[in-house]
Amino acid sequence: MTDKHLSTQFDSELSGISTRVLEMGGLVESQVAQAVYALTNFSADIASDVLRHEDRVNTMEIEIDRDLSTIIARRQPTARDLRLLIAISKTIANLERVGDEAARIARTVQRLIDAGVSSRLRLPVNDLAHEAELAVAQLRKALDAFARLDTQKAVEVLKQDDQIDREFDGLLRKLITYMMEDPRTISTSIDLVFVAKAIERVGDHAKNLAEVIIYIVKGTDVRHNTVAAVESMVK
Amino acid sequence: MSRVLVVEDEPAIAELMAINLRHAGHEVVMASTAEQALLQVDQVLPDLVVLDWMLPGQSGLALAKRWRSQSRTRELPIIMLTARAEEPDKIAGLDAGADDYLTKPFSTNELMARIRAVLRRKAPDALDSAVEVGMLRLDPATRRVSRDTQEVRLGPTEFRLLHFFMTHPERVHSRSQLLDRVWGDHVFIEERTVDVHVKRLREALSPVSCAGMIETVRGPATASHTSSSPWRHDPDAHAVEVERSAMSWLFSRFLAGALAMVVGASLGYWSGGPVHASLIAAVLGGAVGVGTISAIDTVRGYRLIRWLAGSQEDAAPRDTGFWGEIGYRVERSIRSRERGTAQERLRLAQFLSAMEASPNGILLLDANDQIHWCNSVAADHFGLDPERDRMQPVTNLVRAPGFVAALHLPSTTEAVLVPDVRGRCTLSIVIRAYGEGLRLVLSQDVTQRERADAMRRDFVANVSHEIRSPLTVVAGFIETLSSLPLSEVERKRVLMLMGQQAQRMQTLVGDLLILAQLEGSPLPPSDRCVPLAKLFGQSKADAVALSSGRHTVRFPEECAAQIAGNESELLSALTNLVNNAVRYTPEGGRVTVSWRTRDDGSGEVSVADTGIGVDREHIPRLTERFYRVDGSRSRDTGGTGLGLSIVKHVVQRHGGELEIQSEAGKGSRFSLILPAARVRMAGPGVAGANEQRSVA
Repeated sequence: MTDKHLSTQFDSELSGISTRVLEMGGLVESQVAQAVYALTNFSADIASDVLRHEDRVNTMEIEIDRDLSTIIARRQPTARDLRLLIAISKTIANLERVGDEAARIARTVQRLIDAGVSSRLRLPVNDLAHEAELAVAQLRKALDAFARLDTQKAVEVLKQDDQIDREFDGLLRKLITYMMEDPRTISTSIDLVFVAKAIERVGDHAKNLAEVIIYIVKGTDVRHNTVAAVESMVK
Repeated sequence: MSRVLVVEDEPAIAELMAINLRHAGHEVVMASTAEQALLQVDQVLPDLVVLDWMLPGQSGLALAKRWRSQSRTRELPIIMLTARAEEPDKIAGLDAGADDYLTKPFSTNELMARIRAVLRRKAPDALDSAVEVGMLRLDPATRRVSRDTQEVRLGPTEFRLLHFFMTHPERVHSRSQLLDRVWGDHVFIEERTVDVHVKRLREALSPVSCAGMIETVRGPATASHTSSSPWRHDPDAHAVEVERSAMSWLFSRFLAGALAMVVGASLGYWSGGPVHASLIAAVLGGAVGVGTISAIDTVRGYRLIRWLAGSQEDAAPRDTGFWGEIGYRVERSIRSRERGTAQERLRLAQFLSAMEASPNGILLLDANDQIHWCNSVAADHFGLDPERDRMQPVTNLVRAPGFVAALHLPSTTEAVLVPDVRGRCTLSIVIRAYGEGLRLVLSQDVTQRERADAMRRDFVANVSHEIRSPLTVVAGFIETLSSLPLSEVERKRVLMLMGQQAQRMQTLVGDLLILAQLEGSPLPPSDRCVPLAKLFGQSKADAVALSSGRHTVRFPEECAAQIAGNESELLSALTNLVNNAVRYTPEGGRVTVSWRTRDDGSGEVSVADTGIGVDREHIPRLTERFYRVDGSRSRDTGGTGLGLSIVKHVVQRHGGELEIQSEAGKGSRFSLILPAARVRMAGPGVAGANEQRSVA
């Protein structure tokens, strides 16, 4: 994004579209954080706020997608510019899915509240909050790496993904013990398993984003490689 | 007769409403929790619900929302009753689906009037006023239907059916609607039953020729440079030299040229004499003289140009004459400009370090919202790298939607609240425009402030709830006593309830005053000793009275220790702990008070019980004002919610701490740890006691 083109108009188009992608990223970041806040605090109001903003995420995806095809058609970019645009197309698809996961969590919160599950029920929401904190941090790191085109940070994101996976497994085990102790908590626990899975997916999307960043900078597709292999490719 | 469901966790208020509602001729059903209320509504749909906001477990607000979301209860009239009198609360309550909103303390007469008003609007048939349609008149109070003076004889179901039709005229009702509204939706009967009753109703109405009135329808969020280059050469030292005008230099140059020419010419003339070419030699000599001067000038000019083309860090060539003067003047002007620049830089560096020292985050943006400069606080708040992120569009890195939206607005003065990069703090961000399209972003960490505000709001809400509830009961019963003809039994009951509530308010106000006093008064004295035995004696009397034989209460037989401090504060702390232990221990349990000195000399007063205990997660918050473990506001145990706060305050003022160990279902142990400096033991303790007497 820093290399100058003969056409400064093209430059500003590229940086403009990256900025909008990051703006969408910011929105999605806060959607996830809000959804988890709604869950830990049993707030129906915040859950419905999340669902209301879901539309904005979708609209942004469509708008950025349209601008992308306009730029490709008009400028016929090559090399790094082309990689950037392709990467953006993948990024927004990932971000939109993160938005969907946030909405899924919010809907679950609403359902739990409607079903009369009160905050007094002992649920491992704090473990969920911890998993979510990790996932949001990953997403934030990936977006920061995108803004700075920082491959080192991107590799870090790839490395830390299994932390969330471990957290998810731990939570699953915990929920199973809850369900075995008290069968009345089964339906709620299943809801929470889906929430935990949604949060775990957010982590995966952050990972995809990190791979895309390496693709923009290095031009190599690092998907489906081990983290060690990716690290040596980036060096 | 209408059925009213009262959902209220405060038994006294519930009873106040029940007495009044019964006297007004309503059937009253009571529920003290949201779960009970849901059950009641599931069984028989009431005509109206009086709903308290603060309920144990699910709040009244959530309950109202839930009822509104279900088709069966969507039309259910709800009156919200709460101690929350703030406008946003009222709005939230009404938006959640309440038809009317009343704040505590309320007047019972007003409540009754509001119940009538809501019933009139939402369920006219539940009201006992006479209805007239055409010539037909129906009076629910006397259960009579008449046309002019001619009476119509009806069965009870037909009467209800006719009442419903008359209060909902000009409308088409389906069989199932009629079943739900007239029979009640808790009744399961065959739909065709409706036909039978309609037929009977028609028959009953035909004698007064009103049968035709019923119709059957068939068929819808830079570094600076300190290189103030130590001048190797200070032109000012040089500048003390004589100031000469440029003209004098031109003249001397001209003079030197002329002199060189004359000297050259005379030398040429003198040396040309022997070869008889004096004149030619004189011209040649003059030319050589002028040429030499020019050559010297050229060399000097060249040196000056070379110096100018270079970095000008060395001193300018110190030549005499014309070129030297030019060099000197140029150098002086360059040096003075350099000094000016250096001063500017120094000022800028000071300015930036002042901004750097600011406790708030400062971020400077250029016209394209790119990061121009930021201080380390801002870098920390937003997770920026001051060097690396320069010229990066700010929204690429600070992506909080609230901040992005505020930045897109042309001008805002309002602060936006945004979580920080780690999501742990709340930042208040202000954006100000300056210069041409430049912007200044100020960020401040307001986490503490927000937290303090929340605590204050909670405290005010709790105090108002705790005080308003008993006040509501007392005021309500006074009204009831003066307006309703109560029986002797009812009157006694009402007076007893009033007495209880007055007592509760007294205790609460007492506790609040103790807390206020603890906060405002000087630290307890360290020279006055209080014998522990005396404290034990007094609190034992209290505990025994409270327990009235239901528990085994054990205090240490003898205790020679004394504690330096304020007697009344220590007594109130101990009494609070012991009374709590008695309250939260079921009948037959044990309350044990013990005293021991620890190895480090500090003393420990423990109150252990075999009561209900507390879950681990609640322990850190137990000493918060009005914190209740079960989230319920029920006053079964008679506490004010301030006891442990008082205990903690007292102990902290005495330099000690409160230790809590507890396990749900097994009992708790509350220990007052008093520092060694405040504990006096047996021997000197006696002297201390004498001393205390003499001081007193």
